[in-house]
Amino acid sequence: MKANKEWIVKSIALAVWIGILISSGIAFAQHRQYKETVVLGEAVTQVKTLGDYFEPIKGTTNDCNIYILDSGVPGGTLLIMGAVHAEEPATNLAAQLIVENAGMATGRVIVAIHQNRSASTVTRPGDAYPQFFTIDTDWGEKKFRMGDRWANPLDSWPDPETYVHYPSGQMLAYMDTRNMNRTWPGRANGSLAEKTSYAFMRLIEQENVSLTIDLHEAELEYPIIGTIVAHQGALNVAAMASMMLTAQEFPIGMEISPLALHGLSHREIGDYSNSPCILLESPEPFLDRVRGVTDEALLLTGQDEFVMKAGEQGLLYWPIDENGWSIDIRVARHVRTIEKLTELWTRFHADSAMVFAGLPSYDEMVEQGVGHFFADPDSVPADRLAFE
Amino acid sequence: MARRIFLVLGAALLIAGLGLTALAQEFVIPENLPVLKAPIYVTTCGQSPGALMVGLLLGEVGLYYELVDLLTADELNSECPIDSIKDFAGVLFVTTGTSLKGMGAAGVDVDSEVARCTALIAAARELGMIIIVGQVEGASRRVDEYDEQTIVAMSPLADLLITRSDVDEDGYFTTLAEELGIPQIFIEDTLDLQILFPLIFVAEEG
Repeated sequence: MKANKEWIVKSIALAVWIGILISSGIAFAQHRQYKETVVLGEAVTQVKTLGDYFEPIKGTTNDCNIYILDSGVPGGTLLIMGAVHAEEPATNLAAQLIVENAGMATGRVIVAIHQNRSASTVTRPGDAYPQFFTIDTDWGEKKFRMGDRWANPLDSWPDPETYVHYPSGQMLAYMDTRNMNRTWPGRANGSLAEKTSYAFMRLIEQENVSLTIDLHEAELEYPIIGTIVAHQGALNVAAMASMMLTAQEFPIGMEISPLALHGLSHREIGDYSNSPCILLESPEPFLDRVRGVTDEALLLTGQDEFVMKAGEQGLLYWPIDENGWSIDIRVARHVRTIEKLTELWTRFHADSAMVFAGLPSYDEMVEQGVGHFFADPDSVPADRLAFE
Repeated sequence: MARRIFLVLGAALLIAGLGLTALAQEFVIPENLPVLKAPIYVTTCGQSPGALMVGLLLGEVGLYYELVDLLTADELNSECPIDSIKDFAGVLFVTTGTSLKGMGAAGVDVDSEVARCTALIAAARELGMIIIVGQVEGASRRVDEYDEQTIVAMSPLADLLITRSDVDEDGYFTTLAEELGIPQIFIEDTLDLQILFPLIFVAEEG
């Protein structure tokens, strides 16, 4: 009788375990396989993939789309990289907004919406991250994958005991071998993130990129926030952009890329190519350790009473009030800063001018919401769609 | 005087060129403003980009400057032939507020920065230079003890304070200037400097 009871309990436990395994496996698979739809704006003249620049990336998870917006007017080439850290959603939204809306008057813009696509196929279940988030548009809800800071272990495993950055030899945390903002300038035979960085360096070389902009978000507890971090090759542009935007539109600081801190885009891209790199940080309360409920609402509104309380205690490097930091403001900051940087780049480097046309203003993005600027996929022919 | 007007005009054209006409800023220029003329040596106490911004804007309005992030007293002395101090005397512009990234990259800490800049100011004073201490990056460079350390160490040594008004919420800069009789000019934004500089610097006659 006792043996029978034990068997029943064990069977139930096994069934529950299998049930959890199957349901979570389905959820993970659905997230990993979900494709975000991108409507190609009129200025998009070509869509390549990263593997076109470095064959070993072809067909891998990180063979991301490379959107080229060519004005046809000779000038410079700007590379915009979104979602190197896929848990920073204002970055891929800003990149996609540019792909769908920007016109080009001079020069070219090349955009990678998901720079480290593998990182967008996994979240942090242990930290209660939502798998998806949706943005309200004029035609309905648009769904996006939430991601993680590091490439998916399914694509890049195992991690080393210690990650030794190539070529500096600087030692970093083991998981940073999957963090694409620690793997620049990359390595042809390295981890997936190292190979992806290497592929982007080949893109920069082959497309003769003049300036690279790498989009990020940060927690308010982190001192490098709401700021522009610039390689020595773009200090004038970054400093002037910081001063002008702060005086006229919204506060944004500036930091100079440290010479001895390796693996970062703003350091290595400029050192190993002809393109200086500028990194932008917007404030994302979702990432703060002291946050409350970790859900889609926090991701989109940036409103959190616990983060606010930390601010009252002087523990933050960036202000926050009950209005939080909405996704609309964070995207608008990125898009507008990119535009301002190109204006100033053109002023300082007339021989490699790059001039946008048709980008929405900061106020338009904030007041109408970023969703207003995403086109309805049903309104365009299939050959004007791409999938992320 | 003609040159001064030229500089102001040049700045106005530049500002218009940048689309900054809405930025016209009225400054309260103190009566005891020291005579300020180039060369202008710019350094940062704390390795923040404030010095870079000051240098950039000095250059924009056509003033000669040298930006040296880690300028030392010895280097400043070596710039000045001892028999021509009178011709050399210019301005040392020290910005306050710190960058942890910047200090880490430069291999310095806040204590060594304060020591370097204290010695530098002493040397500059020996050379007859005017000392400007500027907190030009605003509240984001007055958030921690390191920022405070550079501000408290440098500001009392100034012949002129240029201060972003948003860092004076506690009245520290106002009180300091009043107590020590240091002239002070408040700016609203860092970019205001390019309007201010032509107003306060006397250019050499060409």
